[in-house]
Amino acid sequence: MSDYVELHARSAFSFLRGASLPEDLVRAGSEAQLPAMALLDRDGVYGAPRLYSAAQENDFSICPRVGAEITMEDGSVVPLLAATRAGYQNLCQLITEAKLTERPPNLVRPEFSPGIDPHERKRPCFASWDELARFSEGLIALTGDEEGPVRRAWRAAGANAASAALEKLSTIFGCDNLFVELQRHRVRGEDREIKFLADLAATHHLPLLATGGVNYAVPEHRVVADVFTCLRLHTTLDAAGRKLEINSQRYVKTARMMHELFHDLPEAVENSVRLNERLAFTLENLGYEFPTYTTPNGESMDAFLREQTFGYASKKIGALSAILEKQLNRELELIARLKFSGYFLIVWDICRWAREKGILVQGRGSAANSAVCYMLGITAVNPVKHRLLFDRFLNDSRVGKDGKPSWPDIDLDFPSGERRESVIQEVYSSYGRRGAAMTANVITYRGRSTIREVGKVLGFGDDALDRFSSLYANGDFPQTLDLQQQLKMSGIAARHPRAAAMVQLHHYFSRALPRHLGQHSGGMVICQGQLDRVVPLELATMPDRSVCQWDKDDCENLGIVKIDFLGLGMMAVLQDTVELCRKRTDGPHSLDDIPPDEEATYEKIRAADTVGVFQIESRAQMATLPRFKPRNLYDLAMQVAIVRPGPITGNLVHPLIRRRDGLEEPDYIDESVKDLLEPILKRTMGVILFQEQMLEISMTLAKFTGAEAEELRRAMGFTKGGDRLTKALAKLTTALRKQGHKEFVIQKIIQSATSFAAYGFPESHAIGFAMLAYSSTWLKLNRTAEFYASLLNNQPMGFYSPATLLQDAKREGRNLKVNPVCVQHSEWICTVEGEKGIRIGLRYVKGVRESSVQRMLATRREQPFASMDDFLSRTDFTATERRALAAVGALNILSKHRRAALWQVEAAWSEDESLFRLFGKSGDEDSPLAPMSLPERVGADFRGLGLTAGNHPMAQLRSRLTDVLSAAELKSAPNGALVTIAGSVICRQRPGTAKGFVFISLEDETGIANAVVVPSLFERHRLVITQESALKITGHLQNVSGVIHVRAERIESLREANLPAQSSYDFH
Amino acid sequence: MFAVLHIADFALQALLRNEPGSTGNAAALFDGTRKKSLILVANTEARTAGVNPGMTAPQAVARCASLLIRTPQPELEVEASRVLLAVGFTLSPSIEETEPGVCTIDLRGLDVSQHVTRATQAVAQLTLLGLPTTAGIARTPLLALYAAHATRSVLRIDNERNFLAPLPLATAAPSPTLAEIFLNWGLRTLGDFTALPRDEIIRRFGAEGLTFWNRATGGNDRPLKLIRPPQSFSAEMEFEDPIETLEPLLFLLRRFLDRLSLELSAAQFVAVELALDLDLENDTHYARTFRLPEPTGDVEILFRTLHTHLESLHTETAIVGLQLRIIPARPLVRQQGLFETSLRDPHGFAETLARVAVVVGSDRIGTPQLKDSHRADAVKLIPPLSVIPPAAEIGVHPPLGLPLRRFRPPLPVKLEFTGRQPTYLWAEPFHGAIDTILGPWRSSGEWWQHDHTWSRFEWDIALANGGLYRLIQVSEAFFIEGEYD
Repeated sequence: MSDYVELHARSAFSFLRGASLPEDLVRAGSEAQLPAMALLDRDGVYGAPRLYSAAQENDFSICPRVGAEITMEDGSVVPLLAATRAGYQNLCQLITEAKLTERPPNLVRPEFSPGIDPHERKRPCFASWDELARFSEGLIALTGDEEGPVRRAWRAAGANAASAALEKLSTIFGCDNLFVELQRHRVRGEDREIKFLADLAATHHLPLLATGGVNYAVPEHRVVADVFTCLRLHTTLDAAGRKLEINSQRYVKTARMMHELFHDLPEAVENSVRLNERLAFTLENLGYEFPTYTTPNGESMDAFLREQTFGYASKKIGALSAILEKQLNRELELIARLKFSGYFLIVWDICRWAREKGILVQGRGSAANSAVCYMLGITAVNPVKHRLLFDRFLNDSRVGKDGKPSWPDIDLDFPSGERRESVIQEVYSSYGRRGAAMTANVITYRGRSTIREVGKVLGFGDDALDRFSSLYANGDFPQTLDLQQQLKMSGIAARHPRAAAMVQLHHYFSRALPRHLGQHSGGMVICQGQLDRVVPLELATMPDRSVCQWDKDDCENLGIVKIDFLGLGMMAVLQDTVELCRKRTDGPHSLDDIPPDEEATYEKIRAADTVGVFQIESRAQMATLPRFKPRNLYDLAMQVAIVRPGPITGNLVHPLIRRRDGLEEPDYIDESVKDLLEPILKRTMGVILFQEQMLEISMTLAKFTGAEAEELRRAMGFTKGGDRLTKALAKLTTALRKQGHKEFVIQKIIQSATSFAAYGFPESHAIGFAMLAYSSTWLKLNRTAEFYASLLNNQPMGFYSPATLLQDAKREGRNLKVNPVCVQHSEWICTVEGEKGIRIGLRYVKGVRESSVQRMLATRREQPFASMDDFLSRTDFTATERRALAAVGALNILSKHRRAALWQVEAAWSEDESLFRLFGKSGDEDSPLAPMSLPERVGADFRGLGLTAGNHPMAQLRSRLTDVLSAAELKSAPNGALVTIAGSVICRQRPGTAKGFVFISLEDETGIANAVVVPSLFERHRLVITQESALKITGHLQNVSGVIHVRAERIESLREANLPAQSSYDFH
Repeated sequence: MFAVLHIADFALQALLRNEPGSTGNAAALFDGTRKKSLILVANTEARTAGVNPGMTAPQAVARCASLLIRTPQPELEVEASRVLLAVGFTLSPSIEETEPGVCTIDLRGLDVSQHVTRATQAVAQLTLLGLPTTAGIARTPLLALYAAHATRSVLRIDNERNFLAPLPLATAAPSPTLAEIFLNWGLRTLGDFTALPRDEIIRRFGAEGLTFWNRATGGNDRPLKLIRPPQSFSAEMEFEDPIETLEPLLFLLRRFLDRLSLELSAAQFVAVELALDLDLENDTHYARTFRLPEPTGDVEILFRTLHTHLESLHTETAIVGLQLRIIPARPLVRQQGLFETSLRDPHGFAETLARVAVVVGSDRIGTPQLKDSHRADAVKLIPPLSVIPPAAEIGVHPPLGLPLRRFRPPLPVKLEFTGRQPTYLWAEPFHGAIDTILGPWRSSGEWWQHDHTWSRFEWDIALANGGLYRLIQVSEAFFIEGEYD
């Protein structure tokens, strides 16, 4: 056993300070055979769960100690170690207090903490000495490194100041809980300071402690530390000078190295072992408790849950069938036995509150397997009807890492926007600002952001970095070109003296180094006592939000229950549509009123008329719908699940389609396992499509226990790194072999499991989504005006721009009338007019403020505008706003035409000339300006609204494009014909699973035409494809099973057409 | 009457005139100062290919793969401006540098019949000097500018109304707000605009509207902001790519001399001496002065003088910079400044320094200052200070160590090891057994550029036979860096 313990290490979770991931530190500590390591990240315990998990999974047992470096109000930094659980709780509270309490802006002088802006909303931690004293119990303090109070004082003001700083710490922590920290980094002159510190410790009867002051796991990571220093201080490597480290010595060292370094002070090294023995706390005994639900009459939570479940069940269904009653009893009994009743009641209570406030809510995920959840209104899927198994949601053997039953996972979908925010604020108000928080989302360095930020630090010019950003859009997907070629195309040749450094740094950064802490889109954690005793809380960038320092995976690993409050744009659309439909006698008045399984709706789905609907609107989904031909809700669930990176990687799409078409027999991998697999895979004709099937296979074929299957599920859903999945799959392989299965079977199953990782869809989740997809399609077809108005009011969302949605809305068959924006008729939002009409809302007029419009609407409600002069005199739009309204035709009702309105509004007197305003008139009706031509009107619409109520601009060009087929004409062109298509680019996609193929969607006045570009052609025309807003593509037509696309052979810009640029959904 | 000499796409032309092979190629100038690099200017060829100002580099290259991408070079623009003004002075002593690439000339005093002829000569001369130029002659400076914009050679405006009507609205440079309003109004030409009622325009846009109305109708006569002919005659240039052959060097020298001789002539000077200074790639300089046998302003004679000498010149490395100075026939009259520096004779000091620089090289002269770097002994030279700054205050922890006398360069040494410990040291002036050793101390840096990366180990050693030294290891080699007193 080593006689040294590293008690002062920083990871990359110190954000721009440490350079290695906690996992790297554990690996390095393990290789150095250190028995324990303490992670002291700056102002937080961000990396502690990762250190804890990595330590547990490592072969060499290394004990993960917890602590943090705390920035004090004077800018000094005090390292603290949690000795006990109370100490840890104090540490969390101290950080929370320091982060949530507003400090005076002049508190920190910049020379002490460069790179820190105390004005930021997400302000850094500046703990006061009083707070440190208040939360000191159970904590052990070190005097710190060069940023520590003692060494800082010594360097700035000499021995007496250092002694005073030490006394300040000593008063708080006493002689037992304070160590004088010594670090040696092989820097000339450091011995003078060490000698002083040793003498100072002797004078004050304090023990010495040698630490590595670790900033990175291995010396190679020093380059990252240097880049972080530059990013923190907003400088470049060339200009940073002595702000960079002098050498690469702050890595994890072995006991032998530390003894060699401190041969003159051996007790300092030995004390690390003694101190470690006093540290009794690890994250294993976190002490987290989920809140209990307070029942109204003091009855038990179990009884109350039962009462509510059956109460709602009889209201919802009436007389219960024996099967359903049995199922409810079974679920309630299990929930009670696992002590989860409180959890269910709390989720139910949130859903109930939302409904009372008129907010649509629907549970997603595996909760849809629960009849209790269905009855309580948490989910919308009847699991008995859809034969979903409750065990996949909750069972006795689901045990977490800590050996306790693992919490069920209930995610709730709400309409995005203000309605979801009000639910989140309700949770804050119920559990207190320090009893609830959003989970964090660790934003990591990826692709373009790495190149941009590292490139700046390396001193590359903005032009090269801009070019890189333009050429290589965001995405996890592999590029056809390697990084060096990409850099070369951006103007950074391989022989550039710094290109090698860029490639090396990109390699380090692309290992998901944390960049900053964001908040998860909807995950919240709540706690029985105070959440700030479990994990530090800090302010989120969004107002009225706080966020905990751990992300959802960390919370789950530590047994902290997370409830996801997810915002779905489509939920908002559905809610708005239903609210609009309430004015109609034929409804629907709620989503439940939508007739289920209507054939006409499925017919439209099969025809891929799905622009704007939920989930099945993407290009890939639309290309699959005519082949997959969904006929019922379960088909739709499979459709939703099928177009995912996972199943595509596993080559599963085509077999399923072929089997549904009767071209291929269902296949259960092998005769030897057919009897076992058929019951599991029958509904998907032998294809492993859903996560639940994968889990059931692991339990049936590999004889996994519930806990092992649960671990496999988590590994498959774990988003960080592949180690965990690799281990879980190795375990599955071993178990399958142990059961004597053929190697071919094993490989097939492992391949499927691999393809599911991170992307696999739970069956219940897919059914939930399918319901939303069905409902939105039904509304699109049957309540077209209400649906499109709501869709336009909830932008941006989905795949398509408002312009494309509006063109789709007007396509044949729908007979929808789109009325242009008008000050006399439009509201702020888009509204329904008559049976089949929508009126574009003033929210779409660019440059017009909502407040001005709302005042105008209030005025209009008093009395409609009689004339332009009346309008101008009764509204307070600015000159710019008036012009914007006139240019898009919103004032046409008060004028002869747009230009006449533009002429008139310029004559309106400004506020500064209010006297003249009484007399001034906007001018005569006789505007000297000629009316706008049609192309001018379309151009003005796109500039001022981003869409047009009129025809697609391609319609004006049609007569000039004699050799071009429209999107509609493609349907009747023969398969294999050489055709040319043209239009505005609305989508460029390059899915990683498509082996470098690029999909381009072009929109014209008749619809959307799709083209496929092979990688070599894409690389030849990369710039034309990615930069031009309108294209002309020639190639051979593929028209198979109703799926039509052009295999591009020639790609040209359509710039002579001068089409207005539309927004495009890009991923390349 | 006024004439305007106008160089279209000035910043780009100023750059391309020094690239003989660039003629006829599409080229664009990018703004390298903003976050996003956008096209500032595109030449006619680029615009024909669909490349327009405001585009990003990828957008531009998507439309024209062979596009020459350049960034502004202010020193070349200054040079081109000086050429333009020098030619302007050949028309009249009353000229104005209205904006970069635009020179306005007051033609009063010049015979009307000569206006077009002289302007045509000036245009031809500028085109010959690599700056395609147009000229306009009209009643007002603004109108002359419009004329220069509207023509491809020389245009004299007699019928103003007919001339102005078809011109694009942008000719009169409306503010962005006005431009957007007029675009929405559907106005395309100045004629479209002036067809509107003037009072209604003033009512709508007030003073701004009136100003624009005046601009749209050709503006008013106005006094020019006259400039004086230059009083010193020099030219210089640094090359992005080193020059290795005589041809491009002569090309540039000819360009410089063309301009300088025009300036000399405008100021009524002649050259008595030429001073040529070449910066070489190996950080050395080549300097030479040429005393002319007889003072002259003839560009051919001046060029021949240089040409003859350069033909026989061989430098060790390529040329990276060039300065040419002409000493005029009349002595330079210098007015004393209001504030004296602390040097008694700053002019003499500067001259002495310049002479020293010729001997040792200009980059090897200055006041040494420690660099902000962990690299040992890293210094840079800053321009010599005329005033010695006061000494810095002693810090909280004054340096305690012994003074180190450095060996420059460090002495290579051989070491004998016992195990991993060096025990004996050989250097040329001394050797002996190592008695005590402290260290190592490690330092490294500049890892981001492979040819600058450094790394070293340091020890302090005491030899048994006396002497304290600093031992360093760089790569595999050991050196004594210095001796402690």
